Amino acid sequence: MRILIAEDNVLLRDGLELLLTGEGHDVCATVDNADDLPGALLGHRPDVAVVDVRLPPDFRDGGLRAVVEVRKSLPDLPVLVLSQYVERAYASELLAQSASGVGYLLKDRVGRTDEFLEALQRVAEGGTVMDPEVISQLMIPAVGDDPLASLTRREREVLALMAQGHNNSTIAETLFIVESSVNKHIGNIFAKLGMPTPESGHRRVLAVLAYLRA
Amino acid sequence: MSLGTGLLGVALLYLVVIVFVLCLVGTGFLLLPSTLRLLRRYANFHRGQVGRLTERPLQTTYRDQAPHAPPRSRPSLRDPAVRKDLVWLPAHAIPGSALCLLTLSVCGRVANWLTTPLWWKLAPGERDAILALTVDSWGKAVAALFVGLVGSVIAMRVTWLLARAHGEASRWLLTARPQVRLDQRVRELAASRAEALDAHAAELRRIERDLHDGAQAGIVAVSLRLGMIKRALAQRPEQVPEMVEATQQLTEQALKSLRNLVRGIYPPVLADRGLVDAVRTLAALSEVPVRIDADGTTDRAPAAVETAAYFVVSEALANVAKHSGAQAALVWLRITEKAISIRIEDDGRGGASADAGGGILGLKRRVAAFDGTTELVSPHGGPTVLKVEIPCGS
Repeated sequence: MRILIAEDNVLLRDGLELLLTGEGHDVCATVDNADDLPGALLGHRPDVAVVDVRLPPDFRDGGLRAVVEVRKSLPDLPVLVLSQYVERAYASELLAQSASGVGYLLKDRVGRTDEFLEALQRVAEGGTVMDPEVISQLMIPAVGDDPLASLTRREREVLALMAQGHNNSTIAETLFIVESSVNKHIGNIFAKLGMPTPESGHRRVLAVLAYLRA
Repeated sequence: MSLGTGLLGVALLYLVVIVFVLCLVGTGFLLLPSTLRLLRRYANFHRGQVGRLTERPLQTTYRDQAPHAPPRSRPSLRDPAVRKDLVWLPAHAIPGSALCLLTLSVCGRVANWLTTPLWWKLAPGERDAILALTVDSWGKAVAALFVGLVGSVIAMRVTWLLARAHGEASRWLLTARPQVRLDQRVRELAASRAEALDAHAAELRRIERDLHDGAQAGIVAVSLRLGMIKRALAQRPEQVPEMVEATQQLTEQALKSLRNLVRGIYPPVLADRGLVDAVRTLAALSEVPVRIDADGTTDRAPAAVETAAYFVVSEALANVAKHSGAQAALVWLRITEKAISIRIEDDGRGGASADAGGGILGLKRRVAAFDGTTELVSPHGGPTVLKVEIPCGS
């Protein structure tokens, strides 16, 4: 895969480059600030971009804003956004246009190399990857008539894994249950959340994202 | 002397009146600030005189010279202290001058009486007069001497009393009312509180940024390398030792960045050994030889104040090493119950300024946040002297 890295911290940029080239990927460009990012994304059209939310010159959410801007003209450009903190607002902004080919992970996850590479692959293929932290933030039982509150513990776990873009067999594996149980849980989840029965893996992620944006 | 300054006052009064009249047609506004400055110098001179005479120094703070006045402030008619000066000027100049003239003429008369016998002897033809009598005999001439003696005692006493009265009246007019000073104090405290909040916010941002870019990023990088090592163990074990070495270096870097951050928040040596020893450590680390004068200073001040003082010395010594080209520096330090006083001198090229931004401005803000004062004297060619006083507690 041709991969673009936007990260201002030298240690992480070099580390990521080393990891990805070591895995046989082609790091086509590295960017260390938000100003150069849109040009680089449009110019290189990478198979996937790994972007740090916080970039110079203003050290706020310049990376994220550059990604949102570029995806207005190139909605299919796959981007995996990395952040030191989970911010629900960031996730919502990122997903506002399109949920395909979008990932949002805590930086910590890059240490779990296998999972990180897998997530990168999923995003590159147009899937959606959400950090478990983002999901658990959303799963915090809210007061009032929050439909999420009506889910059982197991259903929440399944929804969290769904939101991370996992398919039913992986969910079953992760939770040590049979796939038919997963199907049953998913059916319950959508019934409780008032969603139509999903036909594809992608649509069910969209269902979760609807809650992300809420 | 008094007459001289009194007449100067009359001249100044004319000037002020002319400038005010010119203000009516506009052009006076150009002359106003310099005229008010002239008036202030004149008033300050009298404050000194009156303070010495009544043995109680006078204190008035003009708004534009207050510790938290905005830079390049000018005398303003809105300032109560300036207004009081304007009231004081005619009150001082007119009766003051008249009083001086009166005193002088009384002195002349007394001197005349005292010397009457002399005149009688030398120029008997001249007929002088004492009170209602014409001096026309030795008896009357001697009597004039006695009248002169009594007169001089009375004149001295009266002059002294008049001077006191004038002094007290001037004191009243030359001192801004306590309430005005309280207003000023409230403004100063509000300003220093705002500085404190700003400094605090800036400090939090700096710490967050340092953590984000330093330790946090470092640990993520370490985790990333560990992940790579895990993969390498299965696929290319021969690369593992080198990767472990690189990872250990990353860990050390992250630790170093954390250590620096902690030192920047609250230096451990300050907590353990106190300000004087902490300053000694700073001096030992400085590239320019630094002498410490902290005679008998063993007291401890509140931690926040000590920390501020520590960073003042740290920043000042960093500036000395970076910009002054000095061969030697001196840090003078005293801690009392009331305040920490610091003086940092170097024999470098001078020309340091708080206006240029950077270190000294930051230092000044830090001190202002504690309601402290900073005084920098640094003429071109040196030497540079920085005086800082930070009050302890309320």
